[in-house]
Amino acid sequence: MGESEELVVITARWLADGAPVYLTAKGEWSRDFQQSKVFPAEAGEAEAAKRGQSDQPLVADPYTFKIERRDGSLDALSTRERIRSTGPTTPLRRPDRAST
Amino acid sequence: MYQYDEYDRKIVFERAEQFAKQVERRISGDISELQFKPLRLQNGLYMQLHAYMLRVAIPYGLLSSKQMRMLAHIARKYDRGYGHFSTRQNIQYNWPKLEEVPALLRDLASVDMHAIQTSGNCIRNITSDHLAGIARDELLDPRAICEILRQWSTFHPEFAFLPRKFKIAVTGAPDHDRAAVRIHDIGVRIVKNDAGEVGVQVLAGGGLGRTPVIARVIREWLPTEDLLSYCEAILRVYNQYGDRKDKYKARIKILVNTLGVDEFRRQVDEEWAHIKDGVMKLTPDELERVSKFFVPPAYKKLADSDKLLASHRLDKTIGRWAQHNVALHKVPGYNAVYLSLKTKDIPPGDVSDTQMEQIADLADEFSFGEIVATHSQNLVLPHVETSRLPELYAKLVELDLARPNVDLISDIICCPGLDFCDLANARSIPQALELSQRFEDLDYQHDIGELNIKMSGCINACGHHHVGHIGILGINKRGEEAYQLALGGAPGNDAAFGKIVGPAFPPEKIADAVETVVKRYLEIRSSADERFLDTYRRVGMAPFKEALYGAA
Repeated sequence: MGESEELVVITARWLADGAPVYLTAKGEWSRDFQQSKVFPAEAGEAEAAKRGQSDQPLVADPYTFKIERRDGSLDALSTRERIRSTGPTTPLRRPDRAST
Repeated sequence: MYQYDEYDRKIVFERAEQFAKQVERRISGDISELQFKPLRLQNGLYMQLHAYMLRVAIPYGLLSSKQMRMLAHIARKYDRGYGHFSTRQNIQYNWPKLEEVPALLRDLASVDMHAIQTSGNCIRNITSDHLAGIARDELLDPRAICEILRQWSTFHPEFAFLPRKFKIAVTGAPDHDRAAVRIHDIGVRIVKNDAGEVGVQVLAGGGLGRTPVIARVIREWLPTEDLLSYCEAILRVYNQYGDRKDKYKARIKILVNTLGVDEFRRQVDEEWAHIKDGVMKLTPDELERVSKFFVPPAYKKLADSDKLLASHRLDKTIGRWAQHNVALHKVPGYNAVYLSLKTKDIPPGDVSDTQMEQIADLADEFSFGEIVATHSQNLVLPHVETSRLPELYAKLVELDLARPNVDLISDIICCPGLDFCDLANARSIPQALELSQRFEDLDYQHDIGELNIKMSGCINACGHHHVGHIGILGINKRGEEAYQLALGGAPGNDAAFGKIVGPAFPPEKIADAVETVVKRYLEIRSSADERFLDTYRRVGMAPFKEALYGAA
C-alpha cells in the first residue's frame, strides 16, 4: 500500500457487553485498538461488510474508521474513535466490576 | 403515588420474560442485530459508545424509597455502582451486560418499574413539574393527568411506530412552568377559562434539536374530560402526515410548521370530532379514581413556618442552602428540599449506589418515603418539616448532596456527550466539570445569582442548550471538538432560544469564554438583583460579543 493511501481498521461492538472491539491480523476480535489489522480503505470496507454477516452472533455493526501510523502506534483520526478506544475521559464512580 | 394493579404487574413481568427470550435468540445467533435492534430499543436498551445503556422510566419523576433502593441494587449488581439521572426525569445505566438485562428488568418489575417506551419512535415517559402536588403556585396537582396519559400511551397500538419519538409534559402551575412544556411535542397546562373553570390548555409542536421550535397553543382551553381524545387526535394527525422519510423532518414541530398552526389545528379538530364523545371521555369517576393515588401524605398539623424558613435562610451554617435548595410548600410547616447532584468532581446527574440507598433512607426519615427526579438532573425530597431542615442539612452534607447551588451557575444541565453517547460530536461532561471547578467559590456563585448553563454534545440537544441562559453546544469542527456559545435562552413561561454569539471555541477555551461572559454581566448589570437573563434582555448580545471577540 502506498504512503498516501487512506488506511482504516475495522471495529464492531462486542455483543455481550457492547464494548468496542477491533479485528486483528489473526482474524479475531480484540479489545485492544493497537492490535487492529490495518487495511486500505476499500479492502477494509469489503471485509467489514463480510464480517457483518459471518460474525454476527459475536459482534454487532462492524465498520471501518480512518487511522494513521505514528511512532509505531495506531492513531485514530477522529476524536470519537480515540475516546471510544480508550474509554470515557470523565471520572467514574467506581471501577468496572469485572476488573475488581 | 400510583400503585400497580395485577394487570399492570402482569404486563411488566410478561414484557421482561418476552425480552429474555429475544435476548436468548440474539445471543444464539437466531436473529441478527438488524432484527434485534428494534426489540431492544422498545425495552430502553441502547448500544452506546462503550457499552449498552439502559434507560429506566420514572413516570413524572416520582419515586418511592423502595424503588430508589432497587435502583441502587441495580447499579451495584448490574452496572458499575452508579446511575445517571437524565434531563427527562429518567435514570440511565451505562454499563449493563446484554445477558443480564432480562434479570435487571425482572428486578425493576418487582418494584413496579420498567424501561418500556424509553426509546424508539413512540410516546416517551410523561414528565411534569418536580414540585407537582406541593407547589403553592399550582392550580391543580397534575400527576393524575400524567398518570392517565401514561396509561393511555403505554402500549397504545396505534402509536407504537410514530414518525419519530414523542414527548409530553404537563404542568399544574400556569404561572411558573417548571416542566418546560413549551419545548415538548405536546405541552399540557392546567389553566382556568374566563368562566373560572379549571381545564387544560394544549400546546403542540415544541422541541429542541436541529430545528428548535417553541410549542404553539393548539387549544386555549379544553375540559379535562376531553384531554385524552384531543391528544389522540393530535397523535393521529401527526402519525398520518409526519415525515417518515427524513428523520430530521419527522418531529411534529416540522409538521406544525409546514402546515401552519391554523391548518394543523383544523385537522386536529376534524379528527377530534369523530372521537371526542367516545370511549376516551374521562369521566369524573375515572379522574377521581386516579386522583386518589395522589392523596397527600399524612402531614402533621403544623403552624405556618415561613418565618422559620426565613430565619433558616439567615443562619450562618445552613443559610445559603436554605435559600437556594429549599422551596416553599403549600402545606404549613413543610418545605421541599433539592438534593444537588452537581459537584465539581462528578458528572451532573450521577448518583452512586450507596448515595441512592442513603437518599432512600432520608426519604423515609424526612419525606414520607417520596423522592422526585427533576429534569435539571437533581432530586427533591418533597415533604420535609421546616423545623427539621438543619437536621436534614447535616445529613446531606455527609452525603455530598448539600451543595447550595440550585439554579446557580454550577447547577449545570449536561448530556452524557461524547464520553458515552453514540450520537455526540463533542464531550460535555469534562467541560461541565471544568466550569464547576472554575466557579466553585460559593461567594462568587451567589454574587452572580440565578444563571443556568445547559450543555449538549450534539445538535440533538439532550442537554437543552437552546434554553440555557448560557447554552453550550459541542460540534465537530474538521474532526475536532469545538463549542458554540449561545446566550439568552429560557425554558419556562418566558421560553426563548439562545442566540449564538459567534465562532465556536476550542475545548480549552470554552470555560474562559463563559467566564468572560459572566464578568461582562457583572460589570453591566443594573444592580445585584438584575439576573443574567434580564441583563441580556436589556442590553442584547453586543456587550458580550465585544467582550468575547473584541470590537467589530
